Amino acid sequence: MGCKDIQELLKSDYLDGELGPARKQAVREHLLKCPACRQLEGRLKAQRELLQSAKKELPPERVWQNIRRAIAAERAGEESKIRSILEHLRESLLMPRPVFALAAALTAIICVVVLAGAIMRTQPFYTSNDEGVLAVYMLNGESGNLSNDLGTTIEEYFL
Amino acid sequence: MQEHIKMRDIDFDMLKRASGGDIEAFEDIYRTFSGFVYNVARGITRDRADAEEVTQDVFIKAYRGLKGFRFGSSFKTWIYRIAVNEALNRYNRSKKEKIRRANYDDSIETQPAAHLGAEEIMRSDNETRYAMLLEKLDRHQRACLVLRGIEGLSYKDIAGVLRIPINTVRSRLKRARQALLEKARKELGKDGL
Repeated sequence: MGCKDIQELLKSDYLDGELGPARKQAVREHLLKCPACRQLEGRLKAQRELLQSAKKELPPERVWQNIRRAIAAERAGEESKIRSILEHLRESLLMPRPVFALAAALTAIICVVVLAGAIMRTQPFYTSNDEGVLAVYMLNGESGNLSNDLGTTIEEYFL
Repeated sequence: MQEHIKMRDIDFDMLKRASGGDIEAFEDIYRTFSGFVYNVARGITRDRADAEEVTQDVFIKAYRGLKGFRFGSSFKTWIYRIAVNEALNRYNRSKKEKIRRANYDDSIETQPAAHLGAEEIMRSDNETRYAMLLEKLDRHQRACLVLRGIEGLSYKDIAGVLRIPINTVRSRLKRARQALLEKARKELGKDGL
């Protein structure tokens, strides 16, 4: 390897300890006999020391306190969002909407009309002359007189 | 051979509990990774307040992302990636803000922000020189150099975090170091560093 190759390795793999044993040995042997490359190695090592001299620190405790507060606020926000969604769903399902109210009112009106119609039709539709025509069979199989057998108006309707 | 700092792993159960909303488990995750996130953020943004905000944003994003996190993938690579991206974005925003403020200061003819006192410069000499040099690198070179130079990640780990091939990591580091050597020679004297 010539000086150019050695200098490339000095600026990367050699300085960073990424070189395999054989190539590392080759670089070392070159450095022993080449003052220019040795000088470069010295400058690169000084540069590395300068970078490594930067003090390593832990962040101040307030950083964690801020993170914790932010997370708690976020969670509270999420919970309140979920609560409001559930509340909205509950209201949608339980509270009558105008369309449901209208349908219920219409159903009630229809029921009242049908019932009223039914009641109207249950008014006596026979006279005493019909008595001979209409026959009612009693539960015991005996035929009876209509005027005696008819009970409620509902029964009269179905007959 | 220089020993690389291994990227720390995280307990699977802790991750599961945290993704289920267990804040104590999430605090354990924070305690494991916050040092790395903060130092990378400081390395990239060169500003403590920015680094604090980046750390905060990274962990809030991580908390939100945990629910959708695929447990087959590496958590540490994932959180390191968020950290680098957040720090680079913050750095860009701060840089734009500084330029805007400088323009404003010029327009109203006021003095620029106060410089560091001589005592402080002496005390933080290395950091000042280091910051001055890092400032000259492009954002991609800077991210590689911070991950390698400050945090000691291997090429493979850096490639995983930045989603780039190992050869790209190698060439970015080479160019970054070359650029630093040239800047140092120009700005700090003949011998540079």
